Amino acid sequence: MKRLTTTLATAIVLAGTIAFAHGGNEHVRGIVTQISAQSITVQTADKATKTLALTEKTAFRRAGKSTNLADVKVGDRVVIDVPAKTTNALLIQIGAAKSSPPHKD
Amino acid sequence: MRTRYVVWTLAGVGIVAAIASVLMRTEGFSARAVPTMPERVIARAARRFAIPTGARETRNPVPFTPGAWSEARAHFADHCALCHGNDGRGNTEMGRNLYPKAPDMQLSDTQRLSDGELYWIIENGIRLTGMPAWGTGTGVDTDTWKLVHFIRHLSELSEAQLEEMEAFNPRSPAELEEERQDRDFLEGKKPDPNVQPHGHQHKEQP
Repeated sequence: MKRLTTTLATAIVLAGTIAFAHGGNEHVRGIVTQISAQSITVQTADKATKTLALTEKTAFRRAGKSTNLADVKVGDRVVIDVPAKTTNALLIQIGAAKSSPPHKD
Repeated sequence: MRTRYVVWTLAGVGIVAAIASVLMRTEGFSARAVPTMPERVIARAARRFAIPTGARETRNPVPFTPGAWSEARAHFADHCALCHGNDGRGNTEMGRNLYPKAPDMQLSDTQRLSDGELYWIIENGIRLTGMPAWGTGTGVDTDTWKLVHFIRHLSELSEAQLEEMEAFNPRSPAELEEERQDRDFLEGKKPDPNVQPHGHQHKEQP
C-alpha cells in the first residue's frame, strides 16, 4: 500500500513537471539553472537537467505578453515548448512567481 | 504495321502500370507523402473547374473594417487554425499531415485566387482534400466574406494579434488541463494531488 501511494505521488508530481506533447510540441516545465544567448538549461522536479537551444525563432512570454531573453533569469520557473524531434526552445513562458535557484547536487 | 504499333504501345503502358502498381503496393499510400507534380496540376485544375464562373467573379460585399477584421481573426482561430494555423501558413500538426497538405495561404497560389473563389472554397470545401464545406448552401454568409478579408490580410497580422488569436483556438479537455498545470507551475503552486495525469501524450521526452 505504501509503495502504491509513493508511486502515485511520484506520478502526480512528475505529471506537473516533465515533458508533455502538445500540438506536436513537447512541454518542459522546470526552473532555470543556466541561461545564455545560445541555450537555456532547466532542472525539472525529478532533478533531471535539460538543455535546449535558443534560436532566432525562440519566443519569450511572461504573463501572456511578449518579452525577450533579458527577462529570463536563473531561478525563474519556465514552461518551454520544444518541437518534436528537436532540442530547440520554440516558446519560453516565464513564471510570474520566482523560485529560489535549485540546489546543485 | 499499325496493329503492331498499337500492341507495343499497350504492352508498354501495361508494363509501366504493372511496375507502378508493384511499387505502390510495396510502399503503400501514406498521407505523409508530398503530392506529386501531376497530382498537384490535376487537383488545381479540378478545383478551378469545380467553381462556377459566376461565383468566381463575385466581389466581396462586406467592407473591410477593423471590426470585421477582428471578428474574422476570432472566427478563423476558432474554426480554421487547427489545420491552417493562425497565420495561415498551414504549419500545424494537422495541416502538415493532410494529403494534400494545408497550403501556405500567404503565398501566391492562394492569394491569386479571386475573392469569389476564396468564398466559394470556404462555403463548399474541396473534394478529396481535408477542406470541408463550412457553408449551408443557403444565402450569403457575411462571416465567410469576412474570412476572405482575413485571408487577404494574413501577411499584415502582428505578433499581438496572433497571440490574441490563440485564446480562440479550440482545446481538448486534456489540453485545457495541461494549460492549467502550466499556469499553476508558473505561479509556483503545488500540483493538485486529486488530479491524475492525463492520457493525451503523443510522445514522452526521452
